[in-house]
Amino acid sequence: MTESQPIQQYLQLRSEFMGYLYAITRDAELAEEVYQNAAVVIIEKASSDEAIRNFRAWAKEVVRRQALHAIRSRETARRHGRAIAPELLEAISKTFCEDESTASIVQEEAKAMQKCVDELPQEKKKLVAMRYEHDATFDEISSRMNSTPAAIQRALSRIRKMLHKCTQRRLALSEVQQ
Amino acid sequence: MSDKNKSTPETEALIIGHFDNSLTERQESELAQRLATCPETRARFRTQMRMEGRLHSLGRDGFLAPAAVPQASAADGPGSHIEHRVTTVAESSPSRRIPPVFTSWMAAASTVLLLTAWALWPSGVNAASVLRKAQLAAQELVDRTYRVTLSNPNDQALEQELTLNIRGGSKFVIRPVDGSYIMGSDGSEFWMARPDGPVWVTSDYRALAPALRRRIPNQRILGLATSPNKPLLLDITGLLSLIKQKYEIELVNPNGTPEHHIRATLRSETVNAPETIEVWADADTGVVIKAMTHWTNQNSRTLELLNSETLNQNWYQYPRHAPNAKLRRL
Repeated sequence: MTESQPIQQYLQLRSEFMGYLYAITRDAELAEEVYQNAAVVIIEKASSDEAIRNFRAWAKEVVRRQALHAIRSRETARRHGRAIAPELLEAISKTFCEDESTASIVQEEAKAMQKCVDELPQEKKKLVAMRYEHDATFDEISSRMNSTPAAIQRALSRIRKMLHKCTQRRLALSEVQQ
Repeated sequence: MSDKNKSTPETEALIIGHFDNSLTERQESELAQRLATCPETRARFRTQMRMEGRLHSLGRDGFLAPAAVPQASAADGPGSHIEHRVTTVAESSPSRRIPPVFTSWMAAASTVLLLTAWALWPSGVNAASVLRKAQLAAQELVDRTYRVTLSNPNDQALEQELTLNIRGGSKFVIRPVDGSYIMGSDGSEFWMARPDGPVWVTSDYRALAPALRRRIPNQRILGLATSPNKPLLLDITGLLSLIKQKYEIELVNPNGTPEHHIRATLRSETVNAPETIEVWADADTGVVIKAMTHWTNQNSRTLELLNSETLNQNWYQYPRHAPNAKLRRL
């Protein structure tokens, strides 16, 4: 990653951080809010004279702390019926913070996935859009698609697996070609 | 980087189930244990986590909607079209954004359809018809000036009065009466300036918001935004759009009155969203004359229409308000 302004670096890491935030909040809106709050910390820190040696690692820690604080203060348990198990929260955060994938690898993965998304048949893409663009629940999607929530959940699960396999295949192919 | 480490189907099911929020407590425990002890599970979880993040980002930026499927139709009612920051949304498709594929000819076509739908709308007045008419009126490219009052009965120090100019669904200028800052959008860029300071400009409000939080002395202005994903609730269009998406609405006053009053009650808890919104719209034109929003913490905001005088063509652009300020792009 180039040595751009911290906030620009932060924006470039958006997807990675949003993935983690969604994993521990399972609430797109709250994840976005935490991401913004962490941005405030990043900007404030960037204004100080203190040097940041490893921006990505440091930003991860900022995001993690903001997320845990938000989860505690927002009582997500009340909104989702049951809070995420503390040991799982801890395990996910550790998995996120210990990820040593380089920025270029992550970018390659992003490009590969984008191609896989583009190749999805229209119907599948529509399902993905409903879930990720409109934040629709399985119930909402099923009522619009004349299906059942369970069937929609299974369909989306299959699409995710397809996307994962397709992404890995593309990455493997590009490794061979290099 | 290919994911060379193979995870079992059970692990994959647990990981995907986690993102679907469908795991039992026991399954969550199982996943936590696998994450703590198995490098393959951690690797698989990371790729899934990044994938989920990207899908949300692609969705946020409007790149997931199938290109051939327009997001609006005549049935969507007035206001489900055009400018990028407008979020009036079809009931059958609660999108927060208008996808970039929404080209001008589609917008024009949908406008014709919407106008037709409006003209053919049943004469009986109900809350939905009042809302639709108000949305259509809010889309008009007419300058309207509102007085905005922020208040909380428990804390008079929080009281603030601002003046808001809006044109259509995307252009606005807002400034507090003390002149401590001015903020606006010309429909494509957001900007903010303080007296004798630089003007901060960005095409993405999400980039501006963090900067504003630091620089605006009274941060309550940011409370007007429901979320970084949604437009500022400073404009009537955004407010009406929010009502349509997330609120139960009822018509408070009977037919035959010069103003229609609708009350909107939040269906389910949403971060930063007002608990109730009340709107008074002109019965003939649909123009919103007054709107009041109430939050659970007793904060409230009132918008009152002052006039509809035409403003200078450049009014919504920052050089008009900060002509000598240094430009800082975010």
